[in-house]
Amino acid sequence: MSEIFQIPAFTRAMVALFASGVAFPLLGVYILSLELIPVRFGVMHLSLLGAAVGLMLGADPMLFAILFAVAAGFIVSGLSARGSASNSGGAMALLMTTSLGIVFILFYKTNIQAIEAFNLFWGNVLALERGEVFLVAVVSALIMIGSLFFLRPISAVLFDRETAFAYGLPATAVYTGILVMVCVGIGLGIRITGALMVDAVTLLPALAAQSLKKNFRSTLALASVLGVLSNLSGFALALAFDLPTSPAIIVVGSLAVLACKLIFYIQKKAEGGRYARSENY
Amino acid sequence: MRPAQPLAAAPGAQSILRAENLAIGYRRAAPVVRGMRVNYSPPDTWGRVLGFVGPNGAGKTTLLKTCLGLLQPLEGSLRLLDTDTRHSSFASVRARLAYIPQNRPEGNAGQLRISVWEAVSFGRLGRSGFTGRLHRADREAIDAAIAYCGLESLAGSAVQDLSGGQFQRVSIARAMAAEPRLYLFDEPGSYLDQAGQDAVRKLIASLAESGAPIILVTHDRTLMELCDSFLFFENGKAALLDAKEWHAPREGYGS
Repeated sequence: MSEIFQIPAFTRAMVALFASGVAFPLLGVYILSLELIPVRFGVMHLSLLGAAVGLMLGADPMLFAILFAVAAGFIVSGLSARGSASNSGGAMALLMTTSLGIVFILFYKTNIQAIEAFNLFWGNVLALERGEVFLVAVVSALIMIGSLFFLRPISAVLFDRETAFAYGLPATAVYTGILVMVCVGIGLGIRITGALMVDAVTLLPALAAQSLKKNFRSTLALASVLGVLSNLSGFALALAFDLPTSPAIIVVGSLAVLACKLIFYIQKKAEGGRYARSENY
Repeated sequence: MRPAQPLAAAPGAQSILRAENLAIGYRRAAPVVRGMRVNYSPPDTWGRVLGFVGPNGAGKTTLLKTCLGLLQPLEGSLRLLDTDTRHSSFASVRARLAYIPQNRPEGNAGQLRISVWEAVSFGRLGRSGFTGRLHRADREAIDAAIAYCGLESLAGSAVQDLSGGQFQRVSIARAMAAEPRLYLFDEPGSYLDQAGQDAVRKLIASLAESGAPIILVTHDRTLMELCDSFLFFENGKAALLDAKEWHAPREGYGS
């Protein structure tokens, strides 16, 4: 068993999954709070296009994925300034389908190997290179530091952006910062879990944490813990049962969501029972 | 009861609100009000209450949002506390305004579980630096505002678990924590039951007694009684009236 830790690809995967497990679920909480679900679909597809362009040019697909994702972030930020970001479903659908169409044209017309294209959709954490892992670790650290240092401005913007602005906070700058973090995270996530399963490292731990209805700080902390647990246990399951890593992480993350919902339900029921008993006395 | 810290009017301010040929509204839409010329400069700003009144859609909330810099004037200029809302220096004025919105935030954002204390602390955002770090003076102002609004027992509760009336009191406490130079209320008491409306009305009345100038968007007749001047919106125009002028010809207006 210990031999497995000697394999560089394995340790690189572990580091990337740990770092993204800690930091990316915070992005999931931001996505949910800012109602950016359709937006993150658009960003996901645009960063997939970026990765495909990177492959076509023989460059690092992750770098291009991030560049395209950040560009998407600024587009979204611009839409948001006009008050239409969170309800821009039509525009996002157009962006998604167009990006996907161009991606397949690029794959068809260039010499991109099928396995490389496949990795973009499904991810291959064991194929991560050293520089890519370093980038994941640095970005994860920046997300954590940014979230810790600016926790109050971030929570104020998530709670009510208009009121935060009215009280003198540079709410647009904070909102743009959050969006850029989300977009960079999605761009990086493509290489780790693949475009179709970025939610595994962002949204699922956040959904699980939110379903326990704790306060904002506890939700962030819990999302991080669940993110690490999902990533690492999903990876362990994948190795033990010869499964693809990303789907294994998704299944574990989904089970975490169900477990948290069940725990909340049981807690509520117990509180209700206690209340009913105290009423009887 | 008075606020722990006196809420003084703008020192040296000559005018609370001044509009010159102002057109307001949303971009890519026809102006809601145009050609507004108003100079609300009472000789003594202490405890002054200006009511924005008029039918729905006449531009009351639109002007309030323009006052806060949330919307830009479409034409002309708007000065609040002697500062043009489009000027870069308005950011420092905005940090001393207190906005009390009509509703609680909606959707997922409104589900963000933060405590009453944290929600009130957002009133200090304009003063507490880039990272929002709170100092002792900030904490004292927050505690005083919570106590003034009778929210001590709820300070640790999540705002999502509060009733509409309690939430409005949180909004007012947040405004007080800002130690503002001007309060801006957007239809306080809307959607509240009678008890909630009465509690909010009492709080606004005591704020007015404490001296802070107030701008109040309202349809509520009992809140109108607190106002000493009115900005009446109708048919794309707005006119400044004193209390006597307002009450005489429009007996049927307000609920």
